[in-house]
Amino acid sequence: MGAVCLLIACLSWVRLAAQGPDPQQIFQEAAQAQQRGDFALAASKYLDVIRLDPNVVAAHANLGVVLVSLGRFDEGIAEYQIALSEAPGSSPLRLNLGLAYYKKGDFSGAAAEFASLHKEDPGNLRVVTLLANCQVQVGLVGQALALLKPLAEDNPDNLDLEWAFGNALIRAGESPEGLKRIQKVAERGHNLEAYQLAADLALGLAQYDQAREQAKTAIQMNPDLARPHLVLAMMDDFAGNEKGAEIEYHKALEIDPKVFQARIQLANTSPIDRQVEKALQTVDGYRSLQASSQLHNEQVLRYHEALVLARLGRFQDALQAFAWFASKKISAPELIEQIGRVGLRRTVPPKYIREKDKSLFMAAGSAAFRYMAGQESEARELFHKLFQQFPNAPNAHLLYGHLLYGRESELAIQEFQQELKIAPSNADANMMLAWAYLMQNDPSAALSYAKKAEQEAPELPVSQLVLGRSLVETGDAENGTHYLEKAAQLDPGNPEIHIGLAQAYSETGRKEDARHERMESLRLTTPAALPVANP
Amino acid sequence: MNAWKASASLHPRHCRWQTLSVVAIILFWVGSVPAAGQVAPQNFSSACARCHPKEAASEPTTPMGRALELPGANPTLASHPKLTVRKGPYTYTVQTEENKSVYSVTDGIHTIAIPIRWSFGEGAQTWLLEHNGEYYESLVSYYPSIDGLDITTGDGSLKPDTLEAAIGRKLSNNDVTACFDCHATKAVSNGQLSLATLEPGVRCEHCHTGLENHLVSQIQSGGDIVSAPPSLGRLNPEEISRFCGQCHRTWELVARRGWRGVINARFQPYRLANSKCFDGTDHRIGCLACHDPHQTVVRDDTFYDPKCLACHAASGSSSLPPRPARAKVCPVAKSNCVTCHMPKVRLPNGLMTFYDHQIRVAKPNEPYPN
Repeated sequence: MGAVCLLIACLSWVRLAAQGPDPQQIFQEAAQAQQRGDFALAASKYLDVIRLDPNVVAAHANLGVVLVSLGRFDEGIAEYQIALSEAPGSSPLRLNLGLAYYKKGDFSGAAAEFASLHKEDPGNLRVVTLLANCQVQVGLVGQALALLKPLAEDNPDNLDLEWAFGNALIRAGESPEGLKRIQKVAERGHNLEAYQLAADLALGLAQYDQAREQAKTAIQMNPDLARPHLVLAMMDDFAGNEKGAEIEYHKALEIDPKVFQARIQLANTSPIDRQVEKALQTVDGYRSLQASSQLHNEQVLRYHEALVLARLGRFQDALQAFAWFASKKISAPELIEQIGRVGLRRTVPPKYIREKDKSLFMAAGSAAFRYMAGQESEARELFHKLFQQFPNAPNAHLLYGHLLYGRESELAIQEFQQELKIAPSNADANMMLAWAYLMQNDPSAALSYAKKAEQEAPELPVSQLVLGRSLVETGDAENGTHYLEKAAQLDPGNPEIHIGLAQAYSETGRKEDARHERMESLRLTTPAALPVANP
Repeated sequence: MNAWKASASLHPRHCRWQTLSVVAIILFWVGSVPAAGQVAPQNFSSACARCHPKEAASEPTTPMGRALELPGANPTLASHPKLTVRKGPYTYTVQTEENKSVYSVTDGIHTIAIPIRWSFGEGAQTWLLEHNGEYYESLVSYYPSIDGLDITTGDGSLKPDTLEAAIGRKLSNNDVTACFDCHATKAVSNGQLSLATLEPGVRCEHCHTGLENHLVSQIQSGGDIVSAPPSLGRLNPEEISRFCGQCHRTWELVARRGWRGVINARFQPYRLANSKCFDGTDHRIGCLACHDPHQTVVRDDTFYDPKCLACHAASGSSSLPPRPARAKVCPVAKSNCVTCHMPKVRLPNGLMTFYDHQIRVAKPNEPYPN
């Protein structure tokens, strides 16, 4: 880069004013500051030169380099563009401009510059590599592969090309081939980043020995990285070495407290306590950082989030997290088994699932997965098979009812009733029936189920909610309000409870209390991302 | 059980229709035998007209009475033989010939054409379409404001990637049931769609449940007023809001679904309940305080002044009997209250305008209160 700038300086230097401060002298001072890495001083000096003579192309070009080094990308890009307006077509300047876009994260802008350079000089491997990296970043993986494949074959020792090709293969879903390339870069280039990526990839591909080896090498190179410890922890976890896994998870967390997977894994193996809540908070934090934009991370995040939610007894939320996989048609036996386990509301940790339960979980999971994937008729058949094969499995009809409820509430009601035939004291089935009838404006039908739900699970806020609403809507506002207030004490963050209270207060003339509850429920409900409401 | 509960429990999907002999008695009573294919429920309206002629005559002509229109009885399509609009890569056409309308969508290469059987809405009109065993809400609708087609309200975010998806929004069973349950009478029985018994539009028994018992007892008692259906007029404002909200959307539904922003101006029960003056027990504020569902909505703003002044009149200035809790008197004007306090709101698509039922002192340029 320095050579490029000095070349520009030599070629483009124009006459500077002879009187007053000597711009050439200042330029030299700026260049010296730049060479010793004092970018702030260099920037200030180049600006002085430009103030004295705005047409000095070299000053704009070098100022661009300095500003980009300072992370002031937009200003740097602006300087390159000024320089290019004076020296149009300059390849070094366009390369620098492309690199500035690249560092800024504007891969489309960078790709445009690199593509034009590539057109002029197709043999420039550096430009090809950069262009392909940009194409991968903007999702043009096919184009990147087409560009890289022949060049990688012809230049097997070019590790930059190998790295770009490996990444493109991974993004194209060809992880095994991508892993080979990344491993090559790691070993030949003794590249830490490549070792870390290779460890991750090997783990994802179930090449456990390889994953362990790559992670260990990465730790030897830099013991302060969290990610390789996490890989080692997961290896131990899979191998049943709980103690070893715990040590590695803790090491990962000590290095980086934001490593959400470590926290979640610890939560999944430890008793339900603050650790679990903390794991969920970490998931939220991770999501807010939008680190989940990469598919691999998103999968890991959703999967573990679902398991944590299930451990908290939030089975419906857990299924919601699993629904993401169905919507993307991402399936794996382990995932299906977990969907089944969670759908049937079993709290046993995954590793303790008994062999005889596995077929039940797989059957329930397959049926639920199909439904969540939008294959409703196939799901119906699978559920019927499940009911035939396991006629007394608790919560199977409840699971199907829950899935049906949003689209076919009448059929859902039938499933909840079927569930009660198997287990009359099932609090969730009673609650759902009460809720379904309340939503159909049939509080009389809801009342008996609501009473049963409250009797079976008085500690659950929803059981208090359905009983409270059923009573209010069948004319017993006083008792109903009592149950609703109790529900609000148990779960003040539940907007449905505040909706119920608003109605109860409104009907009994407590106008201000009703208004307060309405405001509270609006505060607690999330505005729809896409407000669709049929006409 | 109060009146709301009585009426709610007889919501169409819970109606328990009595034996055919009951229908036969009613037919005999109204003195006419239906022609072949004529559905019996029409005769309930005729029967009602004997004692409630005013309501029975006006209600079928209201937008609610004409909330669903069938082929051959659709003045909008009859007067617009060809409607067409292009949206992205798709061109939509609604063509009407000899009382038969066809909705078609083409990408220039392939075309899907579907006969229109169900037209929802009397002003703006959306079509419910059947294609390959599935129901769709048409992606384009007719809007009087442009006298033409545009994207159906609420569907602006849909980006169809196939010709089939371009027909419209695919509906679940719950959706279809909900559409017919609001736009027709006796369309839903035991939670299931019952097109055989459907009567287009909102008819007497859509709201006045328990009607059949009332009619039978009227006949049997020789005209005495017995077994009257629960009086909806006696429901308190909270209850009537929820009653009307079954179709116009309840406060709780809008809150739960997170429908925020200008789009919820369409859901009057929600907006009204958000008003500072809304009181679930004060009959001076509520759907029926201002609107008679048997009549077309009054468009003259001054019509509503007495409704506002029922609370907001200076002491002694009202001809109404004194009531507790008089509210503040407007210092600006004493007429056309709604023009300031219920400002008109245009939906984001610019095609429909609604009076905002969140009654308030609306300040210029204030953000839309959710």
